[in-house]
Amino acid sequence: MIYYILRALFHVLLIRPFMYVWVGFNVKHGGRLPQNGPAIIVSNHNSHLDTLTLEILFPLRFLRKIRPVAAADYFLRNRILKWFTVDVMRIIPVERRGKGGADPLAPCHEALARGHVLIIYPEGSRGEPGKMAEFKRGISWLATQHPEVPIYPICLRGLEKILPKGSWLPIPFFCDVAVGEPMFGTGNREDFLHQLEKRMHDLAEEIKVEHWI
Amino acid sequence: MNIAWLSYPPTVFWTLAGLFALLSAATLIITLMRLADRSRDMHELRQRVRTWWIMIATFAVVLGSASLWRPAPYVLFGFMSFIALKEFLTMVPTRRVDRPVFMIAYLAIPMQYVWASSHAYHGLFQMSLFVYVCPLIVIVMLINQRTEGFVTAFGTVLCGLLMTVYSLSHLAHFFALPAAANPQGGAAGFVLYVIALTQGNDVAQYVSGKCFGRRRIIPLVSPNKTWGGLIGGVAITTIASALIAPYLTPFSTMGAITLGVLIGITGFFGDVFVSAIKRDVGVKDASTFLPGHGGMLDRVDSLTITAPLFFHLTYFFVYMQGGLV
Repeated sequence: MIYYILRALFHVLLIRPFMYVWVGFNVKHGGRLPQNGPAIIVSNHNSHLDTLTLEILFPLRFLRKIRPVAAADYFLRNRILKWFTVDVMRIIPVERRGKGGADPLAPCHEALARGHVLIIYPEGSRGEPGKMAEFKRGISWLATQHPEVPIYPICLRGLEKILPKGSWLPIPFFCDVAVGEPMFGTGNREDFLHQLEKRMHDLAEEIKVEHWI
Repeated sequence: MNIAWLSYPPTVFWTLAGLFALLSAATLIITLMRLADRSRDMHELRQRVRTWWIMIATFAVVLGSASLWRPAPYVLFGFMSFIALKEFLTMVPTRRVDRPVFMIAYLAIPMQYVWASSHAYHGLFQMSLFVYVCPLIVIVMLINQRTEGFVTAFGTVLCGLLMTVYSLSHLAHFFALPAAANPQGGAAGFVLYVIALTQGNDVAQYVSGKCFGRRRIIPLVSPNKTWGGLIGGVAITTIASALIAPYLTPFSTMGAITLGVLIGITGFFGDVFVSAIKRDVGVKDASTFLPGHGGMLDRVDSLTITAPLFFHLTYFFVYMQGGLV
């Protein structure tokens, strides 16, 4: 509970003013966002601001259900970072390189069972600015194992200009968010992954922004 | 005239009351039209009028607070500059290496509005963007050592600063000049006059274009602009200027008519200026900051030219000729 209050305060005092005033964003098809969990949000990943942007699309009371799935090797580097990401931001740490044996997605299954909303970046890392990398397969496993859970592709553009990988000072630009229609897992994992990628590229076409020249 | 903590010169108060009456009429007409024919899609129009309510209410509160909390107008216009500059830098092509340059451009906003806040800084207010900020930007760009696209990048930032920061800051600077220049309306009178006429001119040109518009003026930039719209709009603006100038400003009838014509024509060019930029970079609206209108830049487009022009004419003919500065 105390961490939930901490996270809400962090949002109200810091993240929301920062995102609404300093950054600013245009949302397309905001009405498609899920009203309830469980759900999975799939997004492209170019900036540390991506997770904060996806979180502020939802009302504050929804916040406790939102669980970003993040790389354990990066976000659990030291104790302070671990406290902030796991306890305050409530990330679900997953091992990027499976060590064999246990299912690395086990905590995701558990969170979905509790009605949480997962945020997953199937590209795996922030990658090249503004370019969409090939999707990793984890999302297709989740989709086939939870065919009843809606999966919302959300495309983010412009955030890599505000806070690109490797920089620390956020420069104000407007960014664009496009929410896609929900999809559901099918038996065929390959097929699902292709469809998801295609849906994401279509959304990206809807919100073309100026990239660096 | 006072409402709660807000205080206005009486003429400003009644002009604002008139604007709210116009808005109420617009809201009433739209509501009746909706009731008469439910199948019509009036979403955009309703959104547009709702945003007008918010904009005019904000503006009215800021004008009324200026005597109690002096920074109010500088904060409002500074914020408008910030949003407009952000929209501009978002829609034009930029280079990643210039990120520090954009930070300097954003930091120039508080600087410019601090200079705008006192008549003692008048020289700095007028020149520091060119004398200090431009060379600083050049130096940072030189440190980056990327000559590819250098001229375009420098010109882009300068264009953005001129259009969104320099121009709009003139509106705020009125509040720092001697109030004796305008015994009736004060600084609020001048600012309300130029903003109401410029925005009214946009609406008048649009409506007049819908009614009489036939021959296009500059189809390659803005296909909806017609001679009928321009001439009708300028006529309406000139009449409006002659009607409200005696209440809000110290201008003579001849002066008011001249200013009405100037605001009508230059407002048109400000509008088309932003249209040309948007057409160049291939966007329709600068952002969705003002629902129903587009972005801040889409709303202040005409002001980018009329505001500094009006300021300089007033500064010369009223403040200097009147021996006030």
